[in-house]
Formats: sequence, C-alpha cells, structure tokens
Amino acid sequence: MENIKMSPDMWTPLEKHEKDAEKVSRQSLTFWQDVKRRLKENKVAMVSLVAIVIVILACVFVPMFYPITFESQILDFANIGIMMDIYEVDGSYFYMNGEYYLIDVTSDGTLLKKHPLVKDDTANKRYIYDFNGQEVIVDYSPYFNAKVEYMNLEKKAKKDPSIDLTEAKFNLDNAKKVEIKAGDEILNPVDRVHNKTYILGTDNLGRDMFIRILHGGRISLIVGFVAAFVNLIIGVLYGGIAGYVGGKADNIMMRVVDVISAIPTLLYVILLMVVMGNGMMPIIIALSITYWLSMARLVRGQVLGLKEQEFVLAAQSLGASTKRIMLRHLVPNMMGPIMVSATMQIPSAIFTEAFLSFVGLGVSAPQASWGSLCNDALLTYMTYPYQLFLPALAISITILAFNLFSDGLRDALDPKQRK
Amino acid sequence: MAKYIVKRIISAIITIWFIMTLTFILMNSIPGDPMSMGKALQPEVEAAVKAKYGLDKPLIEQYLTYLKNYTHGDFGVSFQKIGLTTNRIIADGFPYSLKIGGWSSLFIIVAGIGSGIISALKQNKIPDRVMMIVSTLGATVPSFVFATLFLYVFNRKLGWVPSFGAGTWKHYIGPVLCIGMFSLAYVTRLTRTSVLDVLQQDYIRTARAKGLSEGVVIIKHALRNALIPVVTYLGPMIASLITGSFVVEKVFGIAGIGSLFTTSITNRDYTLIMGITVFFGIFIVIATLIVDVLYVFIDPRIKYD
Repeated sequence: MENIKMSPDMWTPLEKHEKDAEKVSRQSLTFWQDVKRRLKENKVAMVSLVAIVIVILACVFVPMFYPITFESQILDFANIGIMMDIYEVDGSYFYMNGEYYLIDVTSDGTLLKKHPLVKDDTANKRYIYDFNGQEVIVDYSPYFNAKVEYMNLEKKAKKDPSIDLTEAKFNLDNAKKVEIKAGDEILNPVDRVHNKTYILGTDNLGRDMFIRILHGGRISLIVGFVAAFVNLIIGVLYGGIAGYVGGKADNIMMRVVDVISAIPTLLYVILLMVVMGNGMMPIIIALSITYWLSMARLVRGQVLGLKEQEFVLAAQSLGASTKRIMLRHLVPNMMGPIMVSATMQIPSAIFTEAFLSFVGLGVSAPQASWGSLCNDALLTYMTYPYQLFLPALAISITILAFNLFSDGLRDALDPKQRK
Repeated sequence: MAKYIVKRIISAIITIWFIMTLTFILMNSIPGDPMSMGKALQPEVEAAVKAKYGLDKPLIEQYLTYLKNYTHGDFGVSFQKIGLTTNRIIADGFPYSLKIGGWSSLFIIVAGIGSGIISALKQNKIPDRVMMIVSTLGATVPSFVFATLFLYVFNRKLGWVPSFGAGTWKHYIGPVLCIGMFSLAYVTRLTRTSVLDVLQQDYIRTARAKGLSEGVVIIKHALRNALIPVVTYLGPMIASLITGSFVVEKVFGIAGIGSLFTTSITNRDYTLIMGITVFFGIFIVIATLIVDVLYVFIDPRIKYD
C-alpha cells in the first residue's frame, strides 16, 4: 500500500458523462423475471406452450359456437370418413360407406341424405338402388365368396397347425370389397373429395368426430388439471406439515407415505373406480387420493431445508403463526419445484385417464374423453382407422406438449440441473 | 446387511397385509352384495349360497377367513361364472403374460441399455438426437395407440404379422414391443444420463491415462458403475409391464391374465377383481423386494442399517 504513488491527476473531478460508467444500466431482474426470460429463450418449450394454449382454447370455445353438438347423432350418416370416393350416375353423385350404404352427396362433398334401398338381394349377394330410373347394383359376392373360402381354410388350420393364415387373412382384408354397377357398366370413383359436412368424419352412431374430440379434450383436460391441482393442495399441506412440525409426527406421516407408495398405484385407481362407478368425478377422486405422494415427499424435503433459514426465524420472532409462515414464507420459496412437479402431473393424469377409459372404467356415454373415444373405435379400427387415430393423436400431442413444457420449465428454474 | 434384508422382508410382508386389507375394505364398501347383482334368488337359495361362501357371518369373521384363504393360496371364486376360480384364471392366463413380460423385459434391457450407451457416447450428435426423439415419443404415446398402430401397419397394410391370439412366435412380436415401449424410453434416458455422469469421473480419466483402449474403458470401467441405477428401475418396470399387459393383451386378443382382469372389470365380477388385484399386488411387492435385495450385492458403496 505504501508503494502507491499518489499523482495529483488522480484527484481531478470526473467529467459528468464519466460518472455513469460503472452504473448498472440494465434493470435488475427478480428471480421470476429471470425464469421467464430463460423460458422464452427455450424454443421447444415456447412452441409447446403455444400448442397447449391452442388445445385448451379450442376445447373450451369451439364447442360453444359449433353448430353440431357432441351428442347429436344421425344414424344414416354413420362411419363416414374424412375423404370420400364419390361416384357419378346421370349427373348426380353418391358415396358408399363401409356398410355398402349409398349416400347422396354434392360434387364438392356435402352430404345430402341416405339413398333409399330398392331391394336387398341376399340370394345373389347384392343391393339394388334406383338412381333416377337407372338401376345401380352394389355387388358384394366376390368378397363374400373369398370370405367363405377363408373360413374354410381357417377350419382346416385348426386341424393342421402348419397352415399359416396370416397371408390368407391379409389377402382377404385387402381384396376388393364390392363392385358397383350401373346397368352392366362397372362404375369407378370419379373424384376424391373432402367431407364438407363433417370435417373429421363421423363415428359408428353418426356423431361428428371433430366436436367429439374437442369435447373429449375438455373432459381429459379437466381431469388432468383438477387432479394435478388437488394433488398439489394435498401434497403441499401434508408434506409441509410433516416437514415443518418434524420429530415424531414427521416420522409417522412419512411411514404412512412409504407404506402407501409401496402399493402399486394404478391397481388402486382401478379398484377405486370399480367401487365408485364410472364417470368423471370418480376418476378425479381416484387420481387425487393416490397420486399426491411424490408431491408430499418433495415439499417435505424442501421445507426441511428452508425452515432452518434465518427468514423463518425472523418471522417466528415477529410472532407469525405457523399457518402464516407456511403459506406466506415457505410456500412462495419452493414454488419452483412445486410448479415443475405439478405441470408433470397434468400429462400423467391425462395419460392415466386415457388408460382407464380404454380399460372401460372411464366416463360413460354419451360423454366422451380421448381415452373412451379410442376405446369406442377399437372394434372397428381396421375398417375405420381415423376414428381411433384422431383422438390418439390428440392425446399424444397434448401429453408431448406438456412434457416438453415442463422440461423447459425445469431447466428455466434451475439452470444448474441441466444435462 | 443381513439386518437390512430381514427388515426389508418384514416391511414387504406388512405391505402385502396392507394391500389385502385395503382391497377387502374397498370391495366391501361397494353397495349391495354379489347376490344382488343378477336375477333375484329365492330367499332359501340365497341363504344357502351365503352360508356356503360365509357371507352370513359378521364382517370381521369374513375378513379373517379371507386372510386365511389367501395366505393358503386360495384367491377366491367367481360369483358370476359357476366353477371359475381366481386360481384357475391365474393358471390359465399367467403363462401367456409371463412369456410376453419376460421377452419384453429382455427387449427393454438389451435395447434400452444399448441405445442409452450409444446416445451417451455420441452425445449431441445425430444418433443421440434421434434416440432422444424416439424415447420422448415412447414416453408420450399411450401403449394402446402403439399396439393399434402396430397392428394397423404390420397386419392390415403389410400383412407380416397375425392380428389375433397367441399361437406362433409371430403373434408375440407386437405385444412384446408395445408393452415395453414406455419402459424402453425410460431405461434409454436413465442409461444415457448415468453413463454421461460416470464418464466425467476421475477413475475414467485414470483408466484412459493408463493407456487402456476406449472399448475396455467403456465396458470394464464405465458400464459396471453406470448400470447400477438402471437396476433400481427393474422393480417399477415390472409394475409398468403388468399395467401395460391390461391394454396390450386386450388389443392383441391374448387370453393373458391382464385381459382376463379387464374382462372381469367389464363384467363387474367383484371377487375376481379382488383376487387378481391382490395377486398383482403381491407379485409387484415381491419383485421389488428381490430388486432391493439384489441391489445390496450389486452396489456395496451404500451402507444399509
């Protein structure tokens, strides 16, 4: 220190503009502002967030304004796909669905009505329709004969295990189902058009798939959000009390958690559903009382760490009640991990709901959830794959978006943890 | 260590007892009894049936009989199909489920660990990216979607596999793949993280500094430690395979215990549901117990007392 030479120019006053050289020009960020900034930089998380918002908004608002309700059904228009092969006879168009019904359509794909059947000619395996005087025949005898042949083969295969049915079945499935004839002339589709009346087709009762998927989304999302929220409340209270009170109470409470967590959860959700019956409320209750364990553990761990810190002591010496310390001092400080855990529980609740509905324990008809829509379509998905894969796509996209967003949120809250 | 194992066994027994009791309480809280489900019986007949199954006794006595029967390996009878017992269902369905579960465990372990290692070694390169995307999808797409998609593509469109039943080895490809998808994704991620962690350890640098070949370093030094955390997942994996079997066996039309369980749920056959739940519960608890005990031998660093 003594060696420092003091020169007079060290004591000259600063120019005015030099005074601000060391000033922190950027606004200081709070922890949450920082998290927000990091989250915004994460492109994957932002895209997921946008996807989640779009799904939620669509599920909430579109059914309010859509002209068709989720339960209205027109049996004549059952099982109509998204794309339709249309045929032309004398300037009018028709579409044939999987059950060989003819439906009158316009050339751009608007459904008009089911065409009346003139004769069901079972003996010759054909249906006969009348189009403005022109006889139209739907001949399903080739397929019928192929099927009889296959069934004979199947009988043989029962006695002789060396016969492989896979190829025969495949050929049968991909054989041409019908021939449509106008008089003697074989008709071929003139065009492939979008279904204008039902943009995503109809299900086996003639209900609009589009609005059913959105309505199912409402149920699935409500289950996801409510279950996650209830888990959050129970978990925070239980874990908070165990961690804050400590000692014997903590010991007993955590033993209880250990015992419950040793039980395979999903089996108990199933059992609870069997006891309570089908419906949305039973699913929410069953999920709420079984999935809070991890949240309770997490909160207890956080509280154990935080309660030793000075700000809690300060609050205690100011005479704050336990309730106040818990809710105003401890909970805000562990909001980060809690939020990550809660956003991860939403997709897992949606997942479980889909699983339960698929096993036959979900909401009951005419209500729908994504899982029950898939379950309804299961019997016929080889013929009408869109009925199963559209709701399945909705589930997958939503769960993926939630998962990626919660990953992003975790990274934003705790950049050190990033791997 | 012996003390830890004994403690672990005792706690497993307590858990099994807890599962049995909880199941009993839940199933007895359903309004009505098995008799009130079907056609109305004549009072004498109903009394006789109740006497046969001990339903006229007080609840606590029923509970004790239930505990006694179950501990002797008698998991009860169906109240809907005469002569059908839970033991029969387990004997019929379990071999199929065990076969599927066994093969998919093997598939998960080999493919999951393999792809996890590759993606750790090629961190942030194309193989890693691809595998991370695949494993994210595996954890996102429900197993029934995988199963139906698999059948739609490989049966309906390509005709490579049969659609229904469990005859040849071809029948098993789909179930084995689909049931394991979720766990496969998890094992891949777990292995990747764990290998990445281990590769940064000092002893790996030492091994490399000794001039060992990269292969020896990876296989002998890194993997032996990296795979320890993967072992802990084996317990939950068995549980996830069982729940997967409910869905996958239903889609593929295999008469395994999972699909028999879902059928009994649809039929609301309460005694069967109860028996199979307890059976699954015991199976999972024992599997977890075995994994925990194995862990003691695999990872001597951890002190158990």
